[in-house]
Parts: sequence; structure tokens; C-alpha cells
Amino acid sequence: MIDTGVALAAIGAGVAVGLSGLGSGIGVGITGASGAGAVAEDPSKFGTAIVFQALPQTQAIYGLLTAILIMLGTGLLTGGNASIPIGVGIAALGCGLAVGFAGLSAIGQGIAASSGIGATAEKPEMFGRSLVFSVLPETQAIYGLLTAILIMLGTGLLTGSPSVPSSAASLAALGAGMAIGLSGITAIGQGIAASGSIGATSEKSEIFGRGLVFSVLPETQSIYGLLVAILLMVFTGLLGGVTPSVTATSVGLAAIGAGLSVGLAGLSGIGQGMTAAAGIAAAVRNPDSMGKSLVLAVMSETFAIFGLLIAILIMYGTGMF
Amino acid sequence: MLRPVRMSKVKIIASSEHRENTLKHLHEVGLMQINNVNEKLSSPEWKRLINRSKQPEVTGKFSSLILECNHILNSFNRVCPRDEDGILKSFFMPTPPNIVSVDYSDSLQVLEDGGKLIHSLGSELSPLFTSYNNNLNEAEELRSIISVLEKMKNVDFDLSYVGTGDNASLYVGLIESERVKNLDDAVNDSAASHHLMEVHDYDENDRVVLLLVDNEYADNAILVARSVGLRTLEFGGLSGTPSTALSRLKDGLQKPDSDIEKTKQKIAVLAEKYAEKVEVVRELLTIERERCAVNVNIAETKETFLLEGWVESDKADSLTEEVNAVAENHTVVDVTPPDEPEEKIPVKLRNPVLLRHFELLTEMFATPKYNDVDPTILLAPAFLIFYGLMLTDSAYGLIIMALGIMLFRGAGRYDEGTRNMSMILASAGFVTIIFGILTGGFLGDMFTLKYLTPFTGIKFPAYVLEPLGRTPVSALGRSMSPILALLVLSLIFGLIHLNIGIMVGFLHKVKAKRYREAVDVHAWLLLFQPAVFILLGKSMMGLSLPKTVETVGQALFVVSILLLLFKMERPHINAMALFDATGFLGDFLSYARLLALCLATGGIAMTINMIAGMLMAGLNPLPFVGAVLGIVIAVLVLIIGHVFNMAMNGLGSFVHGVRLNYVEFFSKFYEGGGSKFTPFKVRRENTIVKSRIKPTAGEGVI
Repeated sequence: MIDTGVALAAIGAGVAVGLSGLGSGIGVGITGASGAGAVAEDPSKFGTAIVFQALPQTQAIYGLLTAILIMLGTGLLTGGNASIPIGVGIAALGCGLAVGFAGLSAIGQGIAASSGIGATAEKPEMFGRSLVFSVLPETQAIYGLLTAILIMLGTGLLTGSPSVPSSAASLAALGAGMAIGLSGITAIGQGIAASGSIGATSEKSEIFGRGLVFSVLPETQSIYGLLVAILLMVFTGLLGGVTPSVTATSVGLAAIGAGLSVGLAGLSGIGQGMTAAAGIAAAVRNPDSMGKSLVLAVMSETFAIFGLLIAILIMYGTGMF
Repeated sequence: MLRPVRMSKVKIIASSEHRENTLKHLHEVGLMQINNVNEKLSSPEWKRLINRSKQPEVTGKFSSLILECNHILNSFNRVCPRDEDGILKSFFMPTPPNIVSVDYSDSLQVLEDGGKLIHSLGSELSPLFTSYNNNLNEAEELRSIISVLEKMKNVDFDLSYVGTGDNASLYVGLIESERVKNLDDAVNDSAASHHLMEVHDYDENDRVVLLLVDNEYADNAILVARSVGLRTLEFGGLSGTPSTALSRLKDGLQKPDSDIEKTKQKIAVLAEKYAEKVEVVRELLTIERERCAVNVNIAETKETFLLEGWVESDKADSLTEEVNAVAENHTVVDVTPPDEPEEKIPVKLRNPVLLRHFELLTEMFATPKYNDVDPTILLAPAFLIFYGLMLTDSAYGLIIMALGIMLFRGAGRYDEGTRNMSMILASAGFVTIIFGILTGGFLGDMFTLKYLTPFTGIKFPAYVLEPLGRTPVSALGRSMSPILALLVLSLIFGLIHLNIGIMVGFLHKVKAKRYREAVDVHAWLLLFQPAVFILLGKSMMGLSLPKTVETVGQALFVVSILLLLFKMERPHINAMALFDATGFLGDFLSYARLLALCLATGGIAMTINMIAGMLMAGLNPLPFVGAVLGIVIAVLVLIIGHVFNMAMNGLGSFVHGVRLNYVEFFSKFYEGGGSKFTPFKVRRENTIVKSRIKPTAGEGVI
């Protein structure tokens, strides 16, 4: 027999591997389609196609890793009577959301990697730069994995003695997971921008540096998400071994609100990615347009800032700091 | 170091008899960038005085000889390709290019000697290549017939009977196995009892069909047969059964094959002897052709020639000396400071030894304009600190530094780009080692984990804080978790970095006398930050400040917002400027990624160690092999995991370190958009000049 805590953790494990598998599946599929096209033209490009197709797979590995760690930590795999406090179960659900939603970044990585295959097939010297661009959307998945690990660390799932400082902490972990997970979906925007940059650099190799600048614009949203996630965890005592300033359940529920605020607003990165892709293409045609394209591209970021602002105000208003 | 090298405009006028020599020496010395005279010629005044020069006629001869060299080298490569270095070897221990020292001072001599070598080699090689290609084609044809006959060698019929005879026609063809029945039906329909058909095995997809049809019905039958999918084969000139023909053809292969071998060996001997010489000749010819081609940028009169361009200001004197010496002082060399608009002046960066390699990163973004600041000196330390803080692991740092040094001594000896990159890697690795020591990270927490006894409890004595640990640190007057401390540290780094950028931008604009712009863009930030600090200091950090300071803070806040909104350039109110404030907030928070990546590396390393430890503990109880198997698997997991972590986070730290400089930092003051200084300089890979040819009078009169 298992108790509710373990059951919730099991849901978390399922969400982790399920959502990230979804992301990786689609991303790898997008890349594979491009690879099939390249191989039809020139069968010797098979190796390159495989390398690029491997990139979006990492998100599913992170999801699998998190799921296994959750199951190990809650004793689900050792069989028999597993039992953990409900709070830890909720926090594990937060882990699952963090890695799962952030795993959707693989879709963005797939978009970028598929451009990479195309560029490398045409010009083999583009391999290195295309690889760099294709790795950019991975950051969001790393942040998701990181948050999941930090939550597991803080709730003792990794050290074998699970416990939460308070119910606020467990709900805050859920909020943190949503913050970093949902905002991690901006990697789709980053993938679109990276894909555009690969095309631009292929045409004009000296635009590589500026391509990088445009490609990382949509990443800011996930930084905001990470920031809120870390702050939520620190202030409710999940991280850092300092006595938390708040412990009430209501505060934890508010923390979910903060997480949703910065997380959902973070999806604005998809729009930012589209502008950035067009911006770098414009810079190839007319180098003077770069500054103005940059301004147009960061407009979408304002909404993410609104989300961050509200999240911070929620944390302030509930007495977290 | 802080600005690109100062340039001077230079005009050279000399007497025509010295033209060839002057160009040759300018090429070798490589100090001057030669401009195109197009612009001058567009002014009617100048057009009256000068004409554009043409390339000397001999240029065509150089070009055609170079083509012949390429042809020979390509053919060599096709027939007996040289062993190329594998990837690893080409990075770390590349074979050095062959270098020959030459002493050519006369371009006509290059043409003559080079021409002799190439022509004689060409005439020797030409028949060899022709015979090689012919034999290759013949052998290929034979082989394809052989492969067909091979698959039907058990079929018993005479190949010479295939075709149209007096009363009947014999067809041989292939058809997919599934369609044999269709063929049978079709032929029965069209030729009924006037045909004979035999079907035999061929390969896994097809069958071979022998079809003998009465001539009356032959045309129809074969038409129908083909429409069902029969592919007929031709055996022109062959006789005997397939198996006898097969052995005959196989014997016939021996001659072409052995001829190919013999020719190949002859060519290989020639390639061995001459390939490198041809490369040298090609390089010399290319150099001569470049010297001819540059004539298009020069103007001339009946007795003189004129060229214009740029030279680094401190090298102007030695340039003048060189030119005077070559042209026996029958010259005018006019050096003046530049009066063009900024964008037209070529840009060259000059930095001290270690910083020089980081110019690669500056120029990857954009070459500075002539009057811009050279940001390399600011970019390099910032990049290194960020990299170290984000990777934070001494073991990884050690490996990366070693890789960088090995690369430097390998491919870095022959390729400038690799040399720069390897030095950047090596210094980044070194800084990472330091940060790793400060945070107690060596392969993550491997040496502090309780999973991996007997290493428990060993820490670097110098460590300051453990990012993923639980020991609180005291900072800013109170005790906080190490993660929060690192977050604050990252943000403080960010603030310092951003403000350096703002200050540089402000000072630069002031120096360029763009006062209004300086105030509009930067001034508000310089007042805004202390204002925010004072106003939030009380509530967020619990600082107690005297009332006067608070009032000052409020005043600064108001003034800065006013400065933000009211622009002095073409005085107007710009409400959209409020986005600059949110933009700055975004830039500021962006530095939180330093913490994020630091934790990411440590967290993943920790997970890897944990999994290895659990595997080892789990496998240990197994009888006999448990302990050993446990260690082996654990080590395997550790190696794969840490290599993966190092590669991914090493790349990530690089990209993000560069990105923080490009996006957040450069946008405060750096535009770029200059063009690089490209002097008219000789490019030698396979040759070096034995002695510095001293310019002597009366040389080389065309």
C-alpha cells in the first residue's frame, strides 16, 4: 500500500517523463524530417543528420532522470510500503511540472536543429556554428532540471529523509515548478530565432555574433521564471537551510499564483522569437537595420516583465520578504 | 589598446620605371592598404591628369599556368590521394605544411622556370592520365556485364543467338519475380503457341526470362512483354554460354586492371617527386598574379604612377624609407592624417599579448569604428569571470585548460583562428579552476559525498561557499543561504558590468562632443540607480538611513525620471522611453543566469555522482563479482556523465558568457560597423623568402 504523498509523487513522475517525451518526440520528429530531406540529396549526410537529431533528445533524458529520481526517493521502486508526507508529494509534482513543461523546449531545439541540418548539408563549414545555435534552446530544459533537483534536494527526496518545512513550502514548490516550466516553453521562440540566425549566418558568416544576440533574446523570459522559482524556494525555506519567513498554506497558494504569473507571461517569448528571426534576416539585407529590429524584438518582453513584476509583488504582499 | 590603431593616409607618386619593383616591395613589406582610384577618377580635374592603369599582359600567362597547376594537382589527388590527417590528429598534432625557401626576385623568371616545370610535367602526365581514365572506363564496363552474367551463369543458351534470326527472335530480359505470371499471361495472349519461354533465377528481386518468338508475332509479343515490366538485355558481340563468356570476360579484365595498376604507380612516383614542387610553383605564380592585379587600383601618367591608401601611423616612416629606397628617391610620399568620415577609415586592433586572442570575440560581433572604443580590454576579464562562475568546477577547468594548451601547440601553430580560440579556452579553463577551488567543486561534490567513501569529508581548504550545500554564509550583515549569496553576487557583478558600459558610453559621447545625446541616453541611469538603492534599501534590506539621505533619494528619483522623459536632442517628451527603464531591469536580472548556470553544473554533477554511488551500493551485495562490477559500472557512469556535463555546460558557459557581453554590455556603448584594415601583403604558406631582398637600382625594367 502506498499513501497519498507517494501517489502524488507518482503523478509528478508521470508528468515529468510524459511532457518532456512529448516535447522531445515532436522536436526530434521535426529534425528527422529535415534529415530525411538532406539524406535524399546526399546520402553521406546521414551522420550529420543523426548528430543534430540527437540534440532534442536530451529533454526526454532529463524527464526520465527526474522520474526515476522521484520514484527512488519516494521508495516507489523498492516495493512494499512506501510512505512520505503529502507535502513532499506535492513538491514532487512541482518537480514533474518543472522538467515536463521545460522539456517542451525540445520543440524549439528541433526547429533550430532542422535548420542546422539544412545549412550543414549545403556548407559543411557551418557545422560548428549551427551546433552552437541549436544548443541555445537547451538552456530552458537545464533550468527545469535544475529546479527539479533543487526541489528534490530541499525536500530531502535525494538524501533519503523526505520532509517539508511547511505546507507553504510544498505549494511554493508547485509554484516554482510552474514558473520555470511554463516559461521554459519560450524555447520554442528561441528555436525559431536560432533557426533564422542559422540561415542568416549561412548567407553571411560575419553576422554570427549578431545572430547570437537575436537568438538569446527569448531566453530572458525563462530567466525571470528561474528567478521567481528560486526566490519562492528560498523564502519558504525549501532551499538554504534558513528559517523561512512564512509557513501558512494560504501563502503557498499565493505562490502558485506568482508562478503562473511569470510562467504564463513567459510564453511571450514565442512572439519575441518570431520577431528576432525576422530581425536577423533583415540585418543580413541591410546591416543598419539591426538596431531597430532589436527594438522591435524586445517589445514582446514587456509583457514578461509585467508578469515578473506581479509575481514579485505577490511575494512581497504575502510577506515573503 | 583602448582604441583602434591610428591610421594615416598615404599617397605615393613615383617614376614609371620603378613601378614593378615598388609594387613587389610593397607586397613583401605589407604595410600599406591600397585603395581603388575609382573615386579620384570620377572627378573631372583628376581625369584630365591621370588614367587608370591596366594589368600587364603577362597576367594572362600567370593565370593559365595556375590553372594547369590546379589541373595537375587535382588529377594527382584523384589517382593517388594523399593521406589526410584524421580529425584528432589534425587538431592536436597536424602535419606541418612543407615550406621551401625561395629567392625569386624576378617575376619573368618565375614564369619561365615555373612554366618549364609545369609544361614538361604536363606532357609526361597527360598520356598517363588518358590511359588511366580509358582503362578505368573499360574495366567498369566489363565489370557491369560480368555482374549480370554472374547471376545467370546457370542458364544454358548461346549468347550469340540473342537477337533477330531468320525465323524467330530470342529475347533475354529481367522481370520482377511477382510479375512472372503476368508476363506469362501477356505473352500467351499475344503469341499463343508461337513462342517458348523459360524463366530462371537471377537475384532476390528479379528473374531472368528467355523468350523465343516466331518472327511474325515477335514485335507484338515483345511490346506486350515490355509493358508488363520486362527489361531486355543486350549482349552484343558475346558468344558461348553465360558461364563460358563469364570466364572469358574475367580473363579479359586482367589486362585493363594491370594497366591501371602500372599507370597508377608511374603517376604515384611522379606525384611523390613533383606534387610539392607544383604547389610551390603555384604559390609563387599566385603571388605574381596578385602583384599584377593590383595595378587596377593604380593611376598613371606618361612617366609616373600614383597610388593611394592607408598605413598605420607609427609605420608611416618605415614605409616612406622603403619606397624611397626602391625608387631611388624619385618619389613623392605624402603622409597626412585622415579627413574622411569615420566609416571609411580602416580599423586595426592592437592589444597586448594575452588580450590579443580575445579580439576574435570582439570581431565576431562587429569590427569597431575608427573612433570607437576597443572593447576587448573590457570584454576579456568580464568573459573570463563569467565563464568561471558559470562552470565552477576545478576538474572541468583543468581538462579544458589542458585541451586549450594542446590545441595551441597543435593546429594553433598553423592557423590563427585556432590559435586564438585555444588561448581563450586555456584562460577560461584556468579561471574555472580558481572558481572551483573557491566553491569546493571538483567533479561536483564527489569528494564530499557520503555515497563515495572513503572520500567523505575532503574539501578544498580554501573554499568560500558551497552553492548546493546547507551551510549559511554571512553577507551584507546577515546570515543567508549560499544560493541567495551567490544570486546577490551575480547581480552585483551585473550591476558593475552594466555601469562600466554606461560610463564608457557616456564618456565616449562626451569626448565626441555629442553632449545632448550623452545626457539623453545615459545620464538618467546614473542618477536612477542610487535613487532606487536608497528608496528600496530601507524596505528590502532593512538599512536605516538618515532623513536627509532619504530626501536626496526621492529627489534623485524624480530628476532621473524627468531626464528619462524629457529628451534634450530636438527637445521633446518621449513617453516610450519608459520602456528603457524596464529594459534596464531586464538587463540587470539577466545576470541571474550566472547563478543559474553555476547551480546547473553543480546539480547535474551531483546527480551523476549520486547515481554512480547508488549503483555501486546496489551491486555490491552480489556474490563474487559484486564489488568489482559495482566499481566498474560506477566508473563508467561517472566518466560518461561528467564528460557530458563538461561538454554541455562548457559550451553553455561560453555562449552565455559571450552573450552577456554582446547583448547587455555592448548595447550600452558599442556599435561597430567599421571595416578591417587589409594591407597589400603577400600570403605565403609553402614558401619563405630566403633573404630579405635589398632593393637595388635598375632592377627589373619591364
